[in-house]
Amino acid sequence: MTTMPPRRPTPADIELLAFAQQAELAARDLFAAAADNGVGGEHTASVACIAAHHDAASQAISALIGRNAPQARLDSLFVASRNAFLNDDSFATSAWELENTLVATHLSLLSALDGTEGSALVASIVNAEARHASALAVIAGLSPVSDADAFLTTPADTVALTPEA
Amino acid sequence: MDMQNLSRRRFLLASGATVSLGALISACGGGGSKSGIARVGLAPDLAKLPTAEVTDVTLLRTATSLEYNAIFVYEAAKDAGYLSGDAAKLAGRFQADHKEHAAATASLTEAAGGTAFTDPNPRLQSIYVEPALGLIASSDDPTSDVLALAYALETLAGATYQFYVPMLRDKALRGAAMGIGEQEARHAATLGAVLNPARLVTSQGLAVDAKWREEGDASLFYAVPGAFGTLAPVQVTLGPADSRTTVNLETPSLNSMVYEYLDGE
Repeated sequence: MTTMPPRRPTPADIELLAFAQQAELAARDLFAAAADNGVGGEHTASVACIAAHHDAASQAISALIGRNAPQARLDSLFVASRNAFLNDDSFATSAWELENTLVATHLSLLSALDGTEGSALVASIVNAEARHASALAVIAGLSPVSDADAFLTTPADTVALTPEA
Repeated sequence: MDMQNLSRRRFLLASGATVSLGALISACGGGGSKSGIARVGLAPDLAKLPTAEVTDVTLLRTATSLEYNAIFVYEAAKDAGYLSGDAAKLAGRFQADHKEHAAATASLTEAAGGTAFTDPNPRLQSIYVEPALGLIASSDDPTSDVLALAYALETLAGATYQFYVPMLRDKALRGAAMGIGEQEARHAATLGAVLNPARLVTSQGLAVDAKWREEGDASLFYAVPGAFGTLAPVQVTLGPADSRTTVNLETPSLNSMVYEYLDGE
């Protein structure tokens, strides 16, 4: 008889989801800072909405793991990307890289999470953040035809974030 | 002999015949009843419905079938000449991606001990794809309509993988499945950016400052239509200008999954 996976997050899941929340909060703060700084050209409103998406993701994780949620950003990620996000020349490429990194990170979590509620939530976040990457390829001025890979795939050299890093 | 005696004799004869006929019919029934309840005649045993368990193999086969639906649609659009230039190139890339995805999910199916499915999902083909292509064939603007259908189908494909992630029992398959699903989502996002380049990310439903909000009605197309991948039905409106028809596409659920017991039927 096959064992059904648990519905609620296990203690190990909670650690992984807490880390995911920190990464989402760092992304929220980076995009919010970029929008406040007016980067993104004609798409600044979309940049502000992406910040709101990362905030929504962090809140959904918080709702799932309750008081175990750290409610604090992954500061190393924020500090490493902040200057690039505030500069109109580097914003779109850096933001595109960040979204690809988050997609890779969440995909690695999906193979580690036991609970189905956590995996369902992370899958829905991946779906949205993969779309963010394609939108940011537009803002970076890339062509969906001649630069198709930038729109359609996570670069092979993208490294997932890990709690130990 | 009076009438009373005659009637009694006839009654006894008739009763004997009835009992004999009943015994004969019972003997023809065969097998007897396990329940011990006598029955008259031969009733065939009821055919049992097969057990339709949703296993990892079922989910992977259904995902593969959906990839073949998408391959079919892009091929039909190409054959009909609906797309040209960059749109045709993009569609060609998407179709190639779906072929890769189909091969990947087929390989995962076999690795999980199942038999790979290599055809379009028959139910989705009959209730979504064929009616939609029929509407596009009679459309005044088949190019726009086929792009709208592609956007809807790619959104549906991404949603399907997302929907299946928590249903997969093997954790390793969840990441692999969503690794394909996120590429479907990127297809949809790229089409959304082509169809609605002015606004990539909708502000609908978001608590953002008024200065970032969109004016006017929401579009049907966005690169990013929400903070999370949705599992809601995907709507697409197609057909001639005087009779536009909205088709609701839903992720393949229990009655449209490709169970292994259906093979050969």
